[in-house]
Amino acid sequence: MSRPEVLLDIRGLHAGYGEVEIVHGLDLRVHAGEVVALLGPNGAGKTTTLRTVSALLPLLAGEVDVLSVSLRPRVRGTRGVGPTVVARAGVAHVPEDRGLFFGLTGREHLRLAARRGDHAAVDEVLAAMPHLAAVVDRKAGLMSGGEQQMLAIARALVARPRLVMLDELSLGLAPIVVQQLLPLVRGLAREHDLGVLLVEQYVTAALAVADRAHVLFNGRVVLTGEAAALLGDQDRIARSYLGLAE
Amino acid sequence: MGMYVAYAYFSMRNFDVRSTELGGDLILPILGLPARVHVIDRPTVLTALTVAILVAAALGAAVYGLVFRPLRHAPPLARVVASLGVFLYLQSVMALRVGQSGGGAVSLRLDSLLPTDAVYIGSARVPQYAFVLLGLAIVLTFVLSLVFRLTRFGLATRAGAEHETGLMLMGISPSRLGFANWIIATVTAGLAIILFAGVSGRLDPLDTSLLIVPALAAALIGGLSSFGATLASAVVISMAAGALGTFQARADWTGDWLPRGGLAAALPVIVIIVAITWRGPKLPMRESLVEGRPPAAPVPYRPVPVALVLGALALMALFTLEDLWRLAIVVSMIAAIVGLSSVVLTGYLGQISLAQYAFTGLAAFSTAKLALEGVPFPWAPLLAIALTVVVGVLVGIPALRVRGMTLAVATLGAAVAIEQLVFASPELNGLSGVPRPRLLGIDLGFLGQGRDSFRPEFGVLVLTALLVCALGVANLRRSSTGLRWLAVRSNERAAAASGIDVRAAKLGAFALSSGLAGVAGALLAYELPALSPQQFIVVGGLAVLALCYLGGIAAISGAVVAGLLASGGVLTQLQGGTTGSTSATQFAVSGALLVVVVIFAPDGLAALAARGARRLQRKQT
Repeated sequence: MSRPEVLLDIRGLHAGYGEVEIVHGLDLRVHAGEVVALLGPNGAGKTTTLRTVSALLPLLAGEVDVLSVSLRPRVRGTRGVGPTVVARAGVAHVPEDRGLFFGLTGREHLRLAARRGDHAAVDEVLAAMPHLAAVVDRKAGLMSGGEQQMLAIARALVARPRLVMLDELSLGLAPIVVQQLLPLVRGLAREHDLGVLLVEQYVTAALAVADRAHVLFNGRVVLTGEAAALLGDQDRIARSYLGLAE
Repeated sequence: MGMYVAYAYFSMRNFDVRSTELGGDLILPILGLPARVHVIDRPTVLTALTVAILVAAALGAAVYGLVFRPLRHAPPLARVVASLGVFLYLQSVMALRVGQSGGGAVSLRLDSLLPTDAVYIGSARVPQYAFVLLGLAIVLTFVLSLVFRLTRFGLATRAGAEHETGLMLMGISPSRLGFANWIIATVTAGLAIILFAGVSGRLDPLDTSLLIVPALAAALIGGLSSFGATLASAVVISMAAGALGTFQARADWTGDWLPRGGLAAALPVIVIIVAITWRGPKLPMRESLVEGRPPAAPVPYRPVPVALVLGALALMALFTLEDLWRLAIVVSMIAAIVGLSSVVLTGYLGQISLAQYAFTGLAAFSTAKLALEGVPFPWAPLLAIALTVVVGVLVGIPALRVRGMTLAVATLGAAVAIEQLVFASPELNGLSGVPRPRLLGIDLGFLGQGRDSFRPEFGVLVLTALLVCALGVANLRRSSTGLRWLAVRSNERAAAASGIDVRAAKLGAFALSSGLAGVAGALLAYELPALSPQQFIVVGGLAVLALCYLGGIAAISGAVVAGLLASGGVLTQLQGGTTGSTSATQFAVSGALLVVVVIFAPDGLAALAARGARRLQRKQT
């Protein structure tokens, strides 16, 4: 059996904002068809990691290969590739604030995100998300939080990405909505052989759908394991959230 | 930041494109390069148009790439000031270039293309080309709105105006969109100017640049986001202006004091200001919150000792230097007071006003008029200042509902209205022989006889006024009122939520700042040998804001620097004192400099100097 393709390979990542380093040496891999959860308390560096992979933040040190793109600047001291290049390579990043355009309708979002000439994509995604299909012609600003989050996911999927990064999917949503959305993501990963990197506060829900999980604390990985094993040992996760040594 | 703002901005300075039409030569708007390049030997209207459109496109791309792309995350004030810089630059360069090649205005006729026969609607005579132009405008509007509604490009543009990061994460480059939109905007505006010039048969930089006021007003009615509404309001505005012109010419109740054409120019603008004000929200919506850091507003460093030292220096200079220097110092001090009025309003409260110089003019004219009517010295200026404060508060009312770029346009409109309704009045043209100011038997007049042509006594009066104003503003910055104003500047919603009366802050700042402008105006009435409307044209207001930004819009030292830089002030005197043929070049250079300052030193020259001084100090210790 051949090993699945590596979609995201992070080695020794240092990242942050300006002079403030948030992430100190992170190693992480996401394979095709795999859901990886990135957990940890506020300020651990989860969002910073995603933003760096998307090239919204510059790489301070380390190496990131995402799909066909290497994020290391070719010339030292210059900025490497920009976020548009990463996105075009097949990375779909759903940011924490969802990144929607409130003045555009749901369908306009999908049309904008779909590849040129790929008319089938919109219908396929809407078929998979009937709840969204019912409200897709509304302006995004008039949708409820759950509908907006679904739209953000749909917009990510409609571009037929290879790697999906979801930041705080559950933020501001009712638990019942989260329990609908996460399995949807899981199913899509299996079906289309996508890699998914999931940043989540809602630990049990995330572990229920993930294959593997990393817990970040103060910019370092303090706990790594199979999701199923971690789900059965939540005490260890709680201790890691509090920064207690194992 | 969307396309529409770019569209609106650009009609402002795009008039330079017009001159590409001349005799096959292209006028280059770049200092240091030859004025003209020969492009076509025997231009027809079509080839000339093609060249003009290409130039417009290149210009749009250049301005976006060099100026507005670097400023895309800057607060609205920075972008307004940058566009003033570009405006100043292009206008001066074109004035220079067109002037060099003979004749200020260029005539240009498109008669061969357009039918000029007249049609009668009722008793009104309408030339046929009016219909052709209207048709063209409708077609263009229709095409543009289709493009922006239906294409991916249009969708992306509307999306990018809201959330740039969201767009980047979808693999769409906001800068590429920006370039495309700027090119569309410049080409559209360029075409409009060419048509306008072709119909009116004349091209005059100032004339065409003031087209911006009704054009922006129309765009504002369209909410900066609807092509159709913009077109409709533009048509209504211009028809109303025409009708009012005829009306005023016929009506006899308007009196002689009302300038000819005043109603036509001012009323539509006033109506629009009222309309957008009435429609605007009391607190800004989420999407219009200020982004980017506003310029630093430092707490003044030991104001009283600094004022005493600088005051003593100025006093010494006034009594020892020659009379031309005395004049320059007085001009600079008065300009510094105007600068303080911008510091208070735009620097501390963050409200962009382009009407400050109109307030100054209003106070100058009223002081002169009152003094000529026999009102004695301290009362004439005080009454004039009070009147200016009343007008200032009225002009400030729109600020309660509109903000940022829109407010800048509203105040520009107010300045135009003041100019058209008051300054252009035949009664006010060439006021001279204003009685000399006298206090307690001391003659404080400026003009003397013989060698001592500019008397230092008047300088003492101006210096006293400047010191009082500056110390007052310094005190304001240190008071809780000043803190409240700064809070409103950085986030109106948060300020209101923490119990600050935003209305009171805004009206108070407008009152204080128009009062300061009024003080400067009253002094000008005694300083200038004669007052004429040309001294207070609207462009002066743009220059005031630009100079203050250059100095440092939110610092008292910035106002002083602005005063030193002002035309006819100390810097001019240092350079040899002549303002004449070189001034257009100076304007062009200062326009370019302004853009550089906005991009690289948004806190202004005064802050730059202070930072340099601190660094030097640290090195020595």
